[in-house]
Amino acid sequence: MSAEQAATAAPGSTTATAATAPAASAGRVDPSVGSDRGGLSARPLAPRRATPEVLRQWSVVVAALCIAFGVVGSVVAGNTQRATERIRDNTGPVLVTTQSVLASLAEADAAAVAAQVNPADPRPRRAYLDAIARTNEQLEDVSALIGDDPPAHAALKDINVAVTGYTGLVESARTAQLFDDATAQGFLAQAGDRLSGDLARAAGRLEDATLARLEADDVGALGGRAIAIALGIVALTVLLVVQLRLTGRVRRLVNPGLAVATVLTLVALVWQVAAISSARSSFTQARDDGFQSLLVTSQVQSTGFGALRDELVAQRSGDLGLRAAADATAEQLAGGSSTGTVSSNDGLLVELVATADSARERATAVETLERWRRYRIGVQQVRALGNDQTVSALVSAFNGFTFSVEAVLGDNRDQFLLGLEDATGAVQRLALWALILPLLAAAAALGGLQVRINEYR
Amino acid sequence: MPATTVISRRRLLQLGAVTSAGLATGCAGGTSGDLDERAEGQRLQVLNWSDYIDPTEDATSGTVDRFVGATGIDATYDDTYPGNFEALADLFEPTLGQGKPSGWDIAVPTYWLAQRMLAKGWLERIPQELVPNHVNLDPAFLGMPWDRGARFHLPWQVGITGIAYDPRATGGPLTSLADFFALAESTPVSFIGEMREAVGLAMLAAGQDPSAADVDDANAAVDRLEALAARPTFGGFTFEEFSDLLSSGQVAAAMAWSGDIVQLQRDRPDLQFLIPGEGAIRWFDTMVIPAGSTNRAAAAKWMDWVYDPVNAAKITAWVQYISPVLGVREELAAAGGDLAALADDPILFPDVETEVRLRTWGGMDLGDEDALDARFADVAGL
Repeated sequence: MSAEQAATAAPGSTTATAATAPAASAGRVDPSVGSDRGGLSARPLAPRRATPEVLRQWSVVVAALCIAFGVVGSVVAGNTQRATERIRDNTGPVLVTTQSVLASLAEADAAAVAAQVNPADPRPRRAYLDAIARTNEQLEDVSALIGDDPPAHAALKDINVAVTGYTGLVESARTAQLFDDATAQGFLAQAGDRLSGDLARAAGRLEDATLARLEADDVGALGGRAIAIALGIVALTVLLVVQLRLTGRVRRLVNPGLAVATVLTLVALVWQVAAISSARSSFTQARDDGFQSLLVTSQVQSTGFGALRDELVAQRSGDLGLRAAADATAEQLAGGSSTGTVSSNDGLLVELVATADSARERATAVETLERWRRYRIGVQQVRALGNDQTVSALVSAFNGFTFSVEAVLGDNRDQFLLGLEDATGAVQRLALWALILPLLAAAAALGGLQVRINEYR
Repeated sequence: MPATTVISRRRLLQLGAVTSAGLATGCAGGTSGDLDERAEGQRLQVLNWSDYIDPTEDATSGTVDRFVGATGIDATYDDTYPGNFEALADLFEPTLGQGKPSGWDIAVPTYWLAQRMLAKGWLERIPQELVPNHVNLDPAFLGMPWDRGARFHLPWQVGITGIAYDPRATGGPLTSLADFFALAESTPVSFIGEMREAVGLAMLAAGQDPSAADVDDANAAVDRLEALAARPTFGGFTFEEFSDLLSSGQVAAAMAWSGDIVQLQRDRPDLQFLIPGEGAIRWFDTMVIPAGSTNRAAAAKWMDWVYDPVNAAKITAWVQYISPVLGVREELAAAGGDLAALADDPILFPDVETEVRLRTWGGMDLGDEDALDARFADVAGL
């Protein structure tokens, strides 16, 4: 027995003889032999299990807990990582692109009407063709991204059919305009109905399907997290208990192996909790700030295009009902004033300004509001004068508005996708380390306890 | 690509008080105060083309000095921008291309180079909260497909490349690009040395759209230019030298920049500038903040300053290119005299009918465009 062993022999064992007993007998107690304390009769010691055996049992328990924690934690982390990657690479982009499809179609529709109102200006026709081309590209992107999702595919198919029908009606209107203005207007009205009817419904279904998948991915990302954390806590607790018990037995402050195991387990547990919490936080922020803002901004854009469409058709047809509809739509955007000036604290654009998260966002939202105000001034001029020049100026002013909205949309899109990227980054390589650290902890604990066991030999 | 402006023709504005910039002014919100303070401690470095801003002369402060006086920002305005290809090769590639700051807080490349710089990640986002006058940007420049909403660039001046001619030398008015290219068969004319403009005009003459340029169509246009350039009467590929060639009678007509011709017409009112029926090329030079600029707040202040219609009108009156800033025309009209005449100049303020005929080069794959640049440079001997 080394001096250290002698000094640290466990209290309650054969302490009187421990200092002189051979090493082979260390820790072994014959309950029939009392200790000699100056001739006083000794109190018989209670029978107890041999320490190495206890230590071996502890080793098994600690190692099993660490391994279980590692395996479950790794599986959970892997699930989280896959779910966040799926949201980042598929679900998120599909949601963003779906909004873009709706905006592109609304833009195409307003441009188609502008082209009919002022056929001498080739720019609206170009804008229409560009918007349709963009729509088709976006639909292809969505198709490539949605993967195995039957409801989304069905909705996408309906959108494609509706877009084909819509463009056919616009072309019919264009052809008819050469001969009969009333018929052309009829086709264009049908196109508008198709946009707000079949297309909007199919797009809504696609959005619902994608949101459901987002929800499923989100729930999937959380599955088993509580079990992993609970296992981690139990493993950590057991490690601490063993360490304390061992310290109590051998009067040594710490067992280095157990200490390392404890630290590794703690690191693994904290890392898992922090990483998954961070991923959750980033995801929630992306969804609640980025995507919700994206929805509001997309709604602003689509509503604006609708207002322009109504205004232009009213200009063409003299339909006062449509003009009133355009005014009502304008109110949805910027409150009660007919010029769009913020006279009351309502309207989507005002909401956009109010909910801006940063000075820069606020600045772009304010610019959007101002450009809308200019568009509405243009509306008054068109109503007063009604010539091609004022219509062109009106469309130009509207372009200012919608390009500003696109800048805001770009920010929202970036914020949403960046949030998803952050969420994915937070759990990157977590699955690997969630396994390795507890395995190392198990090895360290086994090693630490084995060293102690060996000391009894 | 500004004109080399003749100093004696320079006139300075005596514009009245600032008119309303509407909601644009002061809309940056509560955070702008802190950023203002940061801007005041910064030293602004601006790199621009030569003769592209009103200078201080005849005891009248130019835009740079008025900016310094009004903001307290120490600004250095360098007008030695060497040209787009040279700037790319000598200034930006060795610095921004290596992840180092360029040393400039604002540079003013032509739009296509700005597009490339953005694609390479060489540009900082404009701190729009410090540029409330961003709202004065003409919507025509907000919709660039490579930077919707103009988040990374802010146009400085806009030009039209059309046809300038001397009616006495051409034997009468020209009305189309077809007339110009027919003239080039037998009469001295010059072509512009910028690929996107010369090729763009040749494409327009062929009924093609250079704003969605197809590589085969563009190469066919280069073929046509090459064939005409081989004629013994050809006057050459030029940049701003077309002014001298036209005014001296060495060429009867030239592909020309609008601002230079507006200047030249002061001395030679008989010279005409045509925006052909088939169309003309619109281009613009644009302010960008190169990556790594440490004075972004000051750069934003500069952008905001030159986008105030009052300040922008003074620049327009001097450089006589099209301003991308809304409200400039009204400022010039309110100033009266010669400046009010500028407000009615159809080259400075094209009407809607003209606007619809203007095209900006675009749509081509960058690799194809590089190859086209190389081929054009070879044909033009540049």
